[in-house]
Amino acid sequence: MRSLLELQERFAASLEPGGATRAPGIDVYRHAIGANYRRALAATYPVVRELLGPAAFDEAVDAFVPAHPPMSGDLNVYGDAFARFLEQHAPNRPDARDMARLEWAIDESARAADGACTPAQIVAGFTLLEEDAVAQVTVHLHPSCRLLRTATAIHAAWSARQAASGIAAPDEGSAGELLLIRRHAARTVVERVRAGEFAWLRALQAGETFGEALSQALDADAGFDLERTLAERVHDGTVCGIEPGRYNPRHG
Amino acid sequence: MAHVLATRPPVPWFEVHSENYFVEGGPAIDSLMRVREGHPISLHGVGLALGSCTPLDREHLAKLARLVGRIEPGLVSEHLSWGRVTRRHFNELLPLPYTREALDLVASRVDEVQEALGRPILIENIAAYVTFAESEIPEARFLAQLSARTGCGLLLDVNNVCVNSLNHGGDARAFIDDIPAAAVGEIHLAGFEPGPIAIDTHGRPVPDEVWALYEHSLERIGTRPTLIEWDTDIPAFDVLRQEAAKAQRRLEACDAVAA
Repeated sequence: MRSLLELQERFAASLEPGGATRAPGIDVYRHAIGANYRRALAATYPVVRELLGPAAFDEAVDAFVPAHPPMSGDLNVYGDAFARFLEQHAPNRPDARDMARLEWAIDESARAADGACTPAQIVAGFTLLEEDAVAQVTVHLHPSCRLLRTATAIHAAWSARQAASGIAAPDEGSAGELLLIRRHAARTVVERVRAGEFAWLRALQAGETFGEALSQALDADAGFDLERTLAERVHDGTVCGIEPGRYNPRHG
Repeated sequence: MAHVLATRPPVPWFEVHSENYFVEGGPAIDSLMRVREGHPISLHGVGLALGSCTPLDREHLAKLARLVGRIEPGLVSEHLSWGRVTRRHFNELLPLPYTREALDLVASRVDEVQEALGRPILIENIAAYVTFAESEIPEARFLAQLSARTGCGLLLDVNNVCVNSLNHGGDARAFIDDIPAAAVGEIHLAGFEPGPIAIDTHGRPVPDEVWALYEHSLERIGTRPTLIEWDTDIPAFDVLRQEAAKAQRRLEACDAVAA
């Protein structure tokens, strides 16, 4: 008698593309499995699906799965490689690839941990620091923050879809965008930000000190307004906490 | 979810797919916690693939354990199925041969899960579109032995019993009779897609033959928490409530007879 392992390996081989059909029931599973992945990725990438069209999207998913087989029983976390896959699969659609990166970032943002952010505490924290200690501080962003630099302009197309007013075709040849994705009061917010702020947030998220982050922001945009940006981002919960640096003159 | 939070319907409990709440934070888990304030929750997993020869996915199990800690569910369930090989997961409830080897494997996995969660789980019978010549134990007997060996409960999916009986022959009522009544912790009812092969779509109203088998189950087993399972082409909430009301009437009729 065949072992359980052998039976499962043979069954698995039948389910793969090109696998010989052993029984009519195998087709039921093949169909159901294919449909599961199309449904799951349509749920994660609804705007990509609209941009490509349902038939082309389904075709992309059918090609994606054997190239990037799922390893988890949780379908909600499957498909992070889809944007990279679209680079090869649909090289003439950089908008679809950028939209896939955005939609994955939105998904990650929606499931990220909550941040215990209290603006008043952060302001108090800064106030207590000596001036020369401020540069050494590290700043925590809300765990739901994601930053994306795109090659194409997709923000308008994504926003139009949220307002259910239909997709505005991305502007061919328009410059890329700098996007901040974050959770705010149970909603996901996608904002275009300027170069200075993008560089600042990116540096903070990477764990750079406050001083280094400011330096990178000013490199990207000499007009970067730290005071105003910091106040806004503490107020809206993007900046979620601060930690004093290693050297703090108050504590010697 | 929004409808439930807005209207707080007089439904005794809700069941969700565990995997949909394997998140660190965010609106999904926040909503579930708020529903939990007013209603008991049952966690129904689809992704553990307990019958797979590959070892249990420890990360998946840890996320389930964390969710159980957060939600304090009334019931936790999974399926008598496999779904993984080393190179990938199939994200589908694949059928097991009902062999002694399979029983040993599933029993050991159920032990592992119950140990990790610190509580018993229910195991659900599935609709199987392939059967195996290697099977040695009738399915109902397999479930009974699994429960006896591990202390797990059973989640009796009456629709799946019907679908298997239509597709493979076999007496659906006899299946119910072979299930240990005391082990049944929950019942699922659903609709299926009829055809040359009946498909367990969970996307239609519960048909007459499933209601009839449910009535037989209640006579045989007694009343049990019963869920209307509707996973695709999800209708308006009122349609689900009407289906639940049909189940409720049968539960009350069974209790009246028992009294």
